[in-house]
Amino acid sequence: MSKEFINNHYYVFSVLIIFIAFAIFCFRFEKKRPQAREMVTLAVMSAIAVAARAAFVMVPHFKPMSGVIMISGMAFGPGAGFLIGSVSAFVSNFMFGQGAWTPWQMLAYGMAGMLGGFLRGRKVLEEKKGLLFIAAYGFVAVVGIVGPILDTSSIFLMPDVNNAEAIAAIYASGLPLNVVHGLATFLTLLLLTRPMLEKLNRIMTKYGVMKRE
Amino acid sequence: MKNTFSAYHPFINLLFYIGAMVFGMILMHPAFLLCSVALAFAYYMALANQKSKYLFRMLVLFLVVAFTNPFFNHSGEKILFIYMNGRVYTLEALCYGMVLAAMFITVITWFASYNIVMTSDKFLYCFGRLLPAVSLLLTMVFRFVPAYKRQIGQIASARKCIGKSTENGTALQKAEHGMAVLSALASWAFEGGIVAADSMRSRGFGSGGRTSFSVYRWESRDRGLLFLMLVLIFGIIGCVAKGGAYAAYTPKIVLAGIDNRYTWMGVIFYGIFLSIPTVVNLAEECKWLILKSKI
Repeated sequence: MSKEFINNHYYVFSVLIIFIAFAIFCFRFEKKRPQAREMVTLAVMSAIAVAARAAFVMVPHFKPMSGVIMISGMAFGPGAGFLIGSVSAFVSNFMFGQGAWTPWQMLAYGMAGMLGGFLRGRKVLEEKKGLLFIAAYGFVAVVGIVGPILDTSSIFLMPDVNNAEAIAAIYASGLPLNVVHGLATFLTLLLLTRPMLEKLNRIMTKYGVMKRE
Repeated sequence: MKNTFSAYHPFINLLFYIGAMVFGMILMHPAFLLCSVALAFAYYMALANQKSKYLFRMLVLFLVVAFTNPFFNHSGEKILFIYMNGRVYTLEALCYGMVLAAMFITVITWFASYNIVMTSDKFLYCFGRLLPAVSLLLTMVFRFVPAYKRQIGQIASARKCIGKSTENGTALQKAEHGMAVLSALASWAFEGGIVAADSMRSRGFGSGGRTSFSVYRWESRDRGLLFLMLVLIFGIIGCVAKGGAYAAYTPKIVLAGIDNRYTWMGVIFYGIFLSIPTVVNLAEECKWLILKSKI
């Protein structure tokens, strides 16, 4: 395969790279032979992330999904967070329709879970003042990383991205939506982190699931 | 029309869509694009509910993408007009924009019919043996989501009785009430989940191999179609490798011509491959008409 061929079909090849990353991840998960309780915990968390929107039908443009995914990352760690995020994105696309954006959404929400996971075990999660830091961290993560990855899927719509001008235009046009998304995440993390983490930690202690190795 | 193609084995459906989408995104030669646009729409139009609305939306999308492309890409030889202190709008970039727009609406249309044909159970069947844990995880999520939505509705209506409805108050209060609902949902869901997990374990989960339920059977017609599809896929790849689908648009339009026999062979293979679902459906329809006429 020539370099020119790869450059001309950047969309196909970038999706291919994402798929390879997912494949490695999935096979690692398979090899671990997860226990029933672990599987169910992951499934419950993903399903809550997908269904969460139903609790906010009255609040326009409020997407709590990234926030819920980040919280599950904080509780279960970066690896589980990534899995929960990408599974949630994939399943919610079965309801809203799969498309060329699916791999990017899976990657973006997986990253959200992973970024949340980096906070696991840190002191901030217990401190009183830490809550604001966590919420700000979520805002920055969504506006800086998750949102841009979601926007990248539209290089498919804005086809000729061989110059920096076009790429900048794509990310700039996505910024307002990402800020709204980021604010929703900020609010979700601010209000939900404490009650949710308490519950997840209780589940982990009581039933011994998803313990840290 | 009855969708006979989706009654074929899931592997056949999946292979077709992988082929159609990957070729659809790679092949930029106008003859190949014409094939894929026509046949993608032919199949989706047979299944769609809102045909004219969909066609109109795709047409708008096509025009927008095609005509905005030259504003981002300034290479090309034939200048149509110059705007904003010396930026050029070229014919080549416009042609390239139309090609990309055609490719774009084709893939969207393939996805539209994919969403009808490849239901979640078929997808899980295809990957169930390769990735048993991941597909079990997905199955559980598919089952939990509607149950949780129902539970969210119940929790919300119970909270309405104590004046904590998600419908009243400022946006912030609504969000707060929503969080309380989610939190209540989480406790309920995890308690139920642990019970389910223990029940799975006591029925032998993780103790060895697992079988999975499926309603699909590999029939001789699937074998025939698989053979045909593989031959066509290799035919297309062969023709493309020989340069039959060569197309460059900027800075100068260079296309593999009609005199190139790999081009028309490739187009024929590609056309047959993409018309499989439509032809399968039409053939079934004809068969049914003939059977009816005998009675």
